[in-house]
Amino acid sequence: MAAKGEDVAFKGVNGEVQLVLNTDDFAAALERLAAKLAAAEEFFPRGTPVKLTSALKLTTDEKERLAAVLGEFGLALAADGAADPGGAAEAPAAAEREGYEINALVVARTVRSGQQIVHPGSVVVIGDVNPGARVVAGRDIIILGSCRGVAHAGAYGDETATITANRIVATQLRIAGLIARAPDEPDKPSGIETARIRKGSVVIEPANR
Amino acid sequence: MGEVIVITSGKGGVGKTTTTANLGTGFALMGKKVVLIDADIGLRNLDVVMGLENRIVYDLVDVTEGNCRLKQALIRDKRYETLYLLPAAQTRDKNAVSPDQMQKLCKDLAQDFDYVLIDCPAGIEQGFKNAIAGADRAVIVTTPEVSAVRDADRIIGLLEAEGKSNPKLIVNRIRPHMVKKGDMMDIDDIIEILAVDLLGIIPEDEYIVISTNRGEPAVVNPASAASTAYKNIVRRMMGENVPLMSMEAESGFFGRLKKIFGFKEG
Repeated sequence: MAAKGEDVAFKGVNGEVQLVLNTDDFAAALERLAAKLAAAEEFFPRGTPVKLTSALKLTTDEKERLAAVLGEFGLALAADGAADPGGAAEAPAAAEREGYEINALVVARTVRSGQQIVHPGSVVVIGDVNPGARVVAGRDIIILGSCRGVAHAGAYGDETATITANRIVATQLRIAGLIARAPDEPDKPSGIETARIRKGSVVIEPANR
Repeated sequence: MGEVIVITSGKGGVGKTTTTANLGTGFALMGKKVVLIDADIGLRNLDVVMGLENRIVYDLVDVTEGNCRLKQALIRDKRYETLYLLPAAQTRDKNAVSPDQMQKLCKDLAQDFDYVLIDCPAGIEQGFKNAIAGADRAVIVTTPEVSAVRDADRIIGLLEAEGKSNPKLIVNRIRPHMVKKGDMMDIDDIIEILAVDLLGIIPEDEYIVISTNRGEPAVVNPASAASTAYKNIVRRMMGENVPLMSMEAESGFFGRLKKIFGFKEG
């Protein structure tokens, strides 16, 4: 399950987009999905394949209706519908944190004001992310430089996603659905830091914790 | 083949036109053949700053539309024989010229001149695209303000996207006493964000206002503090190794500034 209490969520796993349906009310789920996609329009590149992980067995008809909703927003339902129901999505999540493989996009330059990087997997920036720039990733964001712009990790709802940078002095950090703003009086950070969700809010702590 | 250099900034009012006029005049002082192109069509200013307003017969748009020959539109400076201006049209807008036309124009001018300096309009729209189209390299002008630095960063990104990498930076209107009190961004802060090479810094100088109104670039007046700074930049652009003001490390930024501009302690 991508997010506690979220019955419809997108998750980036190994560079793939997964749609997690964690409910037995299909009609409501479909409605939530359409609302979510409408709010996040332009987020997914057109033609992005979506893998389904569902807690409830869908009939062929329901699958078609789901594919139609996804299709409206330019997404394609991946053929593999045989994913195990229930805990299947949670098991890898725990294992993934240690030595996991990522399908990462490596950006070997400074991301400057007005530039935007969007990737369904993780994003590694070799350079700075400057004020006015945006980095959006389905998974983690790793910046080998200063993060001064807006970084959004776990953009499909993955609350285990993290943002790591040599210096985090970001205008805004977003992880899954949570938004954290820089303090008005910035303190001097020392060493590499990681932002993650702890107890429902975004915290920044030394990366080696 | 001469070099085509665009002077740009993103934000307005940071000193693009003043910089273009002074660098151009500086090159002429060094005996180089220079032409300044005012690419700010519809809002032309460079002719006024150069004091050549009343000599305009043809302009840039007349050249691109074929109403006159390129040579006819070039105005020779009243002080320096090797300095020319190609003025912008005032009655038209940015769409009167295309990037392709600018490219051709710059190529033609580079045949006859050592340096072609383009005064870019503010903004990132058509006028900007026109101005950078024919340029070999770019000089970014910024002031020590967060907003100007942000816009400079955007411009550097756009230049990189157009394949014009490694622009050089001029930080204009530095006020040493304000930096000293921590009320103004210092050069190191700006360089850290923009991550480009520093070409030079220009101190705030009231004489710039006087010179602009007189139509006589400040670089010709040795008494002006900005004059020395502009001359140093010109020499660096010509490949001379003039030490950068911010490179003299031992006594910190203020020691460096004092040394360069001759400010007294306290």
